[in-house]
Amino acid sequence: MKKIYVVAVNTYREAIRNRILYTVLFFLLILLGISTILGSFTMGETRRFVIDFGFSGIELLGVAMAIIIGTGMIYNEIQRKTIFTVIPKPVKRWQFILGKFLGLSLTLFVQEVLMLVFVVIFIVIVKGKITSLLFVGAFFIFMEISLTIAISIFFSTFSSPILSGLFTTTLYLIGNSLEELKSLLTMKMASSPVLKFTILFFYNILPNFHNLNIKNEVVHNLTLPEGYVINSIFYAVAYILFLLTISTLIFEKKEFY
Amino acid sequence: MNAIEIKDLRKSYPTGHIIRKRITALRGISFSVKKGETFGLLGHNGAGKTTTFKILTGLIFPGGGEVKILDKSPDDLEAKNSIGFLPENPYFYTYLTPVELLQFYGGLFNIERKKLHDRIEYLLDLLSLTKWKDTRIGKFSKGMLQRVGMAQALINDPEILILDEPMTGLDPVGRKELKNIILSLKEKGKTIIFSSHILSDVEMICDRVAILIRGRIVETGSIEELLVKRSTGYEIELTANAKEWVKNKGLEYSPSGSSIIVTLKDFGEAQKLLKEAVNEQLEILSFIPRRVMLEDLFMEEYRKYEKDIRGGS
Ligand SMILES: Nc1ncnc2c1ncn2[C@@H]1O[C@H](COP(=O)(O)OP(=O)(O)O)[C@@H](O)[C@H]1O
Ligand SMILES: [Mg+2]
Repeated sequence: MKKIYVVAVNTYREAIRNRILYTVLFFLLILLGISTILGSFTMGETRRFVIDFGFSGIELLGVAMAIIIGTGMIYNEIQRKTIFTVIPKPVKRWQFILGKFLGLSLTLFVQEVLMLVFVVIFIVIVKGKITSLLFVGAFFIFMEISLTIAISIFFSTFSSPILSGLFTTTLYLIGNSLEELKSLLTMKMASSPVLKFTILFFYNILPNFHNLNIKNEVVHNLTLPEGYVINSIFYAVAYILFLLTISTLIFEKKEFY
Repeated sequence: MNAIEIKDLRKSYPTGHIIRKRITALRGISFSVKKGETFGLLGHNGAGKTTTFKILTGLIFPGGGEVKILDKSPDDLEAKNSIGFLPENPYFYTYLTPVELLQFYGGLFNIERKKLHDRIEYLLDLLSLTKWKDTRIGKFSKGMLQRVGMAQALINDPEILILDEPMTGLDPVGRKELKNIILSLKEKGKTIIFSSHILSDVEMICDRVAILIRGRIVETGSIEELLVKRSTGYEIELTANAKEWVKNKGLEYSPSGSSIIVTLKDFGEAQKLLKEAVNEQLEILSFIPRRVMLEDLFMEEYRKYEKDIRGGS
């Protein structure tokens, strides 16, 4: 347990020094500024604009950071040969992977909290209401970010950062369009059982980012179905653990030349 | 139980992106290191030293054969708890200071907080890093990195120390300091295995050496053994007034300042002459096996090996 913590803290220490993290905050500020201006043209809709822009910003920037840092994290340890003094220490490879995941997850959590503070400040500025759903929404984004980190780590155990980045981005985009994929089922051309099966197969197996996206509910202040939060947490945690397990299995076999 | 036990160890690396080939790095090497022993792995560049050490530390896996550290497999936690490893040209997290770095490595062992703190202070002092303890490692020179490398290898006060070319990149002062550290660890009963291509490094501190040439061990033994086996004779140094006595025995001598040196082919002859000299009450200044320098020995083995593979193919 302590060893995972030690790896995580070290990962956090490195990641938090990444300048892109702070550049991103600047972008979010601009985004929020624009949304306020746009929102002010529409009567009483400013809060919606700020949340819509703000949450989209938090999610996109967070996911981008997860991919950029996540795909390079383990690759860099190998490339820069820092792993040569870690593997010989009494730390299991799964502890290393889990520590790396938790460290980056923590970093991006801190970053997200900062971004959320900005959004909240802007909501207050436009005299909008602060609801608890806002924080639930932010937590859902955090789950998306964490899932993205796990996917990035998974791909990076067997491909270069650029390829891993491409794969992860693709999965993120597909994962957000899974409902569209499923809706193909109702169309006529999907009558072939093989195609049906294929669609259902991918629908169930690919990471369902769509279900983790509750921005619409947050923006329009809708109530979530009962048990939705718990189910989503369960889904995200299980999916992450699954990815990290596979990553570990691949990493266990890796040799460090 | 030996500290390290290697039997018929083989390893090859995959190379080439399109056409898959393999480079053989180790062609079945065997040796063991006893507890408390200082063992030198000698070899030219590309001989397979780093490969051997990477297998010992679990960074790569054996391609065949057997490797045991204290009777355990290299990836066993118990084995890892008892080793310290200094990689060849070590690299560290550039954003950390030596103290932070050592805290990180220490955290990977089960060392209690207070003890770790003391250990870090001790190691910084031992490796003359105290002045730099709060400087980011990114700013360090090669020699300083080597010191940091040594500190992290010693963080768990390991029973077995594995050092890959620890002397390279150090200036003469650094070498001397490192030699002293190794000698003091040896005194404390630690097992030390280190590699080098610089023979004088090995000669000074090793109990035993293995000579590794292109993935094969061509010779193992104590330095004395290796040298005596090849000694080209024995030199007896006598005072100059023994000239006549030596001449009367029909032996050759060569003058050397105020003394003379008699060279004899085998040990029996030398022994006989020594006894007689003692009986004659002649003053014996020195008696030494005429040594082949380790360099010569190494070159000799290398030439023999090259001839073998040319002859063989
Ligand atoms: N990652 C690698 N890929 C391919 N060949 C390698 C790799 N590492 C080492 N080798 C080859 O294996 C042999 C032994 O290398 P190494 O163990 O590094 O030797 P040494 O440490 O004695 O200089 C050399 O021929 C080297 O070219
Ligand atoms: Mg080497």
